[in-house]
Amino acid sequence: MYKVLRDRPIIGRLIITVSVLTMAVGMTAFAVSGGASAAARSTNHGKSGSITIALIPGITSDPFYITMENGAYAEAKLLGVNLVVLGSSTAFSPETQIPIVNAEFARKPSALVIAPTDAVALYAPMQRYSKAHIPVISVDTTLANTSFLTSRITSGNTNGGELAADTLALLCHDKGDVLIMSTNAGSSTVDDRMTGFTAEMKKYPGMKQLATEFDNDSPTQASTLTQSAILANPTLCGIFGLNSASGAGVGAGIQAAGKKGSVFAVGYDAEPAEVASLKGGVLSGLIAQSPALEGALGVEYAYDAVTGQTSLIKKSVSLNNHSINSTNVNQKSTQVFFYSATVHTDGVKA
Amino acid sequence: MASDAMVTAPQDTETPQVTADEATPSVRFLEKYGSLWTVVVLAAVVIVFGILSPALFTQAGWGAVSKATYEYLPLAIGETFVIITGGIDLSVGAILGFSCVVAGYAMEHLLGNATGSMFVTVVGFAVGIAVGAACGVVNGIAITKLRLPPFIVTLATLYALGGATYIVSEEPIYQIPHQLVTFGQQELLGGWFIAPVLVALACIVVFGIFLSRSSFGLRTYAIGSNPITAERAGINVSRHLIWVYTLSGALAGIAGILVTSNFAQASPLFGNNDELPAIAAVVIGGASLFGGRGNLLGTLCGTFLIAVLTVGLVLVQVTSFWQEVAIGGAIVLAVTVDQFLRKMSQR
Repeated sequence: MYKVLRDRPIIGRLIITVSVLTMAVGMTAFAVSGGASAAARSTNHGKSGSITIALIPGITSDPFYITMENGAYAEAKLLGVNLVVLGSSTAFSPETQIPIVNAEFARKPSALVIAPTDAVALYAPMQRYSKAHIPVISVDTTLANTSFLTSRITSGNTNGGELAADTLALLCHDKGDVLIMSTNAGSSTVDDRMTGFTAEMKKYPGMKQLATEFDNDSPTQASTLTQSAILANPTLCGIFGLNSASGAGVGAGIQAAGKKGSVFAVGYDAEPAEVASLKGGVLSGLIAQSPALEGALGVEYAYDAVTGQTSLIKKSVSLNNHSINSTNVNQKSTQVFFYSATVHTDGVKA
Repeated sequence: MASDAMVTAPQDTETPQVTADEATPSVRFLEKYGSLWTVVVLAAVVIVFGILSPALFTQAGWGAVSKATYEYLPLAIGETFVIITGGIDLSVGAILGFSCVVAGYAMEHLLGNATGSMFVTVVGFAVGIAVGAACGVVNGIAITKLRLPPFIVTLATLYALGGATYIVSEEPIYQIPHQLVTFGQQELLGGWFIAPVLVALACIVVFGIFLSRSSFGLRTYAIGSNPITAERAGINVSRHLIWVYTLSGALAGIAGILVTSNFAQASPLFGNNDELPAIAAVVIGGASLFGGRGNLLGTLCGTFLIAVLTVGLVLVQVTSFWQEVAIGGAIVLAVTVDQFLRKMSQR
């Protein structure tokens, strides 16, 4: 290429370079638009085709939110509306979520269903939709000021924390030390789970709650902290892993310390890996939420709001959690609570 | 990169082999503006996404793009100075997070039970910038006095400050003056701008002139071209490098307080991994990691290119996995074409 160019006058070289550049940009754009049809998770079911609902989960690579997406897709298919799912695949953070919320606003969807990654930072970007008469519904997490929200849907997190405390008390026969392995504080769900757990634990006088550990959402970090906690506290009986990453790390840590069966781990959520750990005895209990129902209800309320059927919408919905343990994990009635790791845009559950 | 003799005239260091006498006008044009091809690429990307989704050209589209730049622009400005000296600053994101929580901590304690105070707002800005600058001083001193490579020093401060941030506060600090939040979120000029974007753009203009017109800027290029000749030419290289890293830290502090104002909180999560887009923007903008070359117009275009890709891919409904792929492609394309143009003009 250089040789060819060397024999030409400079203007000729410039023209060749610019055309090569244009081709490269064009090809990138083509790849991107080709990628759009392949990778964009959107559906068009025709019937009420003019309605497009945007779903922005906290992070798109997590089975909890994938299960939520699947529930939303199934409902969108039922109602015949378009569903667009957008979000960061790498970080659960307002820094990555807000640019996406701002960008989607330029497309003016009919309604927004969103799991805000921060109770305060997302207020202004979400309120902008509401000011433009686009209904906004929060799922899973919510805002500190919920005044403009059409509805907020969550799985009761305080209740989930309580359920975890009861499960650990049962496993420990009401005596011994327990601790919480938390991700990082700050989101409403995390705080509520810790509050629920701590309050419920007070009901068991034989049990002592140790200082909470923070693993920054890293299973490896949780595993290291778990092993240290086991070494430091010989009377440690149980650990509550506050989310799926913490739960997985706690399970691995207990196994590495050789305490499987004597120190019990209760995890949160019911991701495929967690369910496998429960079946293998690494985890002793799981608190499963209802992400699919959250997603489906979010889309349903969005549809109701857009079509003016506001009487069907409840302002605040708190869904129940489900305790999964070694005795009920193989029952069919329990399996509907398992999360999925793959997206089914056609609304068909694998 | 450049010959030693050219150091005192850095504007010529890009093309040492061609002197003005032998160059044809078209070659001279290419030399002068060849590194500005990023402008062309940015325009092309804007047009492509604009055609795919005209929403990019609406006020909301511009709002989304501009709001995706104000956090990275100050970081990328500081990074441009550092990279021109032949160094690298991996700690800008960590400095952002650290200065942001320290400023938040100071504001929380000064405020007490009050919800607002103009005085505390000003103090918040001052603390943020001062803490950022102090971190930069530490970087600069470690690099020049301990004679450690910038990569190692700033990698170390990246880790140390990342931990220190959580020591100051494990949780976001929401107790900040309402005046600061008004500053960060208030829409100006008919809704087309928010104050943090205007501040970031002002920084680009001020530091752009500073880099290209001042003797400080001249010395920055000279050191990057060849530190030994620069030293022999009478430049105090150590002192200058400390200033450059201090500037980078102070700008990260500004970015920290801008993010705090817009997000209505000082969070330890802020700034995490921000060094990557900052360095990418500078490299896409035509700066050489070997030093001696780069300018802030290129950095501005690089930052906006990343923002347009981020927003544009949402507008055409592409999942975020493609964002990173596209930015990676842009970096490779930028460096390849830049070297290609350089080789051509050096015939």
